[in-house]
Amino acid sequence: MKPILRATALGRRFPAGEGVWALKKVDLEVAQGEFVLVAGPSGCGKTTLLNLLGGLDRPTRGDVELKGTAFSKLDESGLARIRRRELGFVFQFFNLLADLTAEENVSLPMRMIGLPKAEIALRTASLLEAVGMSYRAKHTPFELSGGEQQRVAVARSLANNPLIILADEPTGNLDSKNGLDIMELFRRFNQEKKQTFVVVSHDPGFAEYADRVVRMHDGVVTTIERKGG
Amino acid sequence: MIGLVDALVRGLTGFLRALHPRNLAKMARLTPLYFPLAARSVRRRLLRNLLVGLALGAGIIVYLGLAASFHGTAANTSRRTEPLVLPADVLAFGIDSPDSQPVESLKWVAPAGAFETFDRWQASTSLGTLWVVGLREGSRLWSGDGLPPLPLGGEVLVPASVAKAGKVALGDGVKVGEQARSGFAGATFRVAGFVEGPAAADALLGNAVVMRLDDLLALRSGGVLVGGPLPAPNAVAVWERQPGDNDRLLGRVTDLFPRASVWWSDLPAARALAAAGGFLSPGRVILATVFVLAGLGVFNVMLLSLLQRKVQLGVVKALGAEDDEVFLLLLLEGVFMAAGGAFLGLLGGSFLVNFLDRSSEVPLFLSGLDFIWALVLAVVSFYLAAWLPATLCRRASPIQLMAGRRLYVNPRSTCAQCGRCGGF
Repeated sequence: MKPILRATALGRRFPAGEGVWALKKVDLEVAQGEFVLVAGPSGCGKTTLLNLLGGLDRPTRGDVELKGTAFSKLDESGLARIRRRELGFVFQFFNLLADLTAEENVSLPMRMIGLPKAEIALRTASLLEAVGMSYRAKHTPFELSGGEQQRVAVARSLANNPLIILADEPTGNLDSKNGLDIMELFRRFNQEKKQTFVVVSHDPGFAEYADRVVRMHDGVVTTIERKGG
Repeated sequence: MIGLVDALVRGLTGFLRALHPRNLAKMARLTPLYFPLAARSVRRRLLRNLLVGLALGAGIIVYLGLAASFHGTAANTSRRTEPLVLPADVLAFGIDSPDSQPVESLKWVAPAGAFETFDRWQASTSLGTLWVVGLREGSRLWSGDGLPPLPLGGEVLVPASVAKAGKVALGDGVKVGEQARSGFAGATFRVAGFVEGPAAADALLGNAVVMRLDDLLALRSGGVLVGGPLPAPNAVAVWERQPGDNDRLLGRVTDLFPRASVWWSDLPAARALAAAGGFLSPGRVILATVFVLAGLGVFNVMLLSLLQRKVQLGVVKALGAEDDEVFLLLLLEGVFMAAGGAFLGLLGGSFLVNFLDRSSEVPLFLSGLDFIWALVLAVVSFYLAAWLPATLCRRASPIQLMAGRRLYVNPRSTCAQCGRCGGF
């Protein structure tokens, strides 16, 4: 299957002190509808890789291509447009905007691309329904539990029907039950809507959800395991 | 330091770029999206934002209070100035030729004293072609130069050099007027004294027949002269006595010198009044400093607010907000605070001045221009105060904000590598 996301010789060096290569040289391809789990110990470069794949950060070397568009050729505005339309993000600490209610958080990406109000309202309701959060639509993040906030964050990441959802330790701040619920949610969207996921987690238990597990260590990919061998 | 200068230059060019119609249209399109977000954010941190607004409002109140005080003091000084009776407060002189530059010609009269009256006219006299100078009774040009007391009407002083040449003696008659083809037209004046001593070397009096200004004016306006109209002073400089007297004074001056161009200047008090309102007056500089200090307060709070919300702003960027949109969001938040503060400041300032004016010995008053200046300075200082935090945020990458990393004025990685300034 033709990949929609491709990372080539990706490297990221942080300038602190004498410089640290958080990511040394990573090649990765993600196909449409695939569920990829990036696993590895803390500090191995998983999050750095995800940030580069999502255009949240710029690589020191190498490049990322999304449907043939190289990130290196885009300016900041171009990257922002890619993030807005083609990518969805789920973060470890939920990162909902505290000033907005659950439904406003979900509708914000849609408002950013200028969808009509009626369509926004319809889609927001449908997404909240899909993650089981309709009854909390008018609540602010402070009034929601961790699991609820992450559900809203998942709904937000799906708002603009992105090509790929990038999730950084989505269960890292949740108890095991809520963590499993979120992973089930991912699997459901992956299987029912063929939504592509790249999930970073250090929890080996989540390998069963993924089509492919990319294991990292010390800034490089060590193994890639496919489901069923 | 270089990074800061670079950032300021970039900020300025960015500001100018933002004024491009295409960018303004973009901002107008985006404002409805970010306006509620900004309003919500301001409301959520109401107390802190209220303090920012109050800092700005306090700046405006201090500005208005000081401006009113400056104006009042200047006006008070103006009132204490002894009124001078016209034409003693008129300095008049006839320029040498219509081609002369009147203002340049007027420069030399200033050292003679601000409130002298005289006129000068080149006329034919029985002593030859001479300048005829008319001086007022109380003129300081009479006294102190060894001149005799003012002659009575119809009398003149003649240059001592002419008297020494034996042409005239005391009590002789001297004709002053215009020599025309049909004969001499003018009047005969009795020689009452001689211009000598220091005055003899004076550019004005040294080679002139001197008479009373009234006599000169009567001769020039009433005499039947042949050979064309009487020459008239082309330039009159008037020192303004009080604001408000201008029309009356100007009327009298133009009556006296109908063909003259009139220049106005002010008494020191009036100058003080004007200086208080001048663009670079000391008062304005002090007042601008007040705004700089208020701006620093606003800057600190805005910066603190940004640093505390790094993650939130990073999320907005991660969701796809462009750099300019985040800048707009922060500026909109600033506008909310500034608008409230400016309103409170203008209202509070005018109330304060009104209240103090009742009990103050020195009158206080404000002009419309003071309010406009206060508003302009408030907007400028607020923009400058909000600009750096907003720029820091605009330039940071989403992950830089979300991970709470330090922000540097210069976005280049070399700036972060140096890190000596510590960043924000």
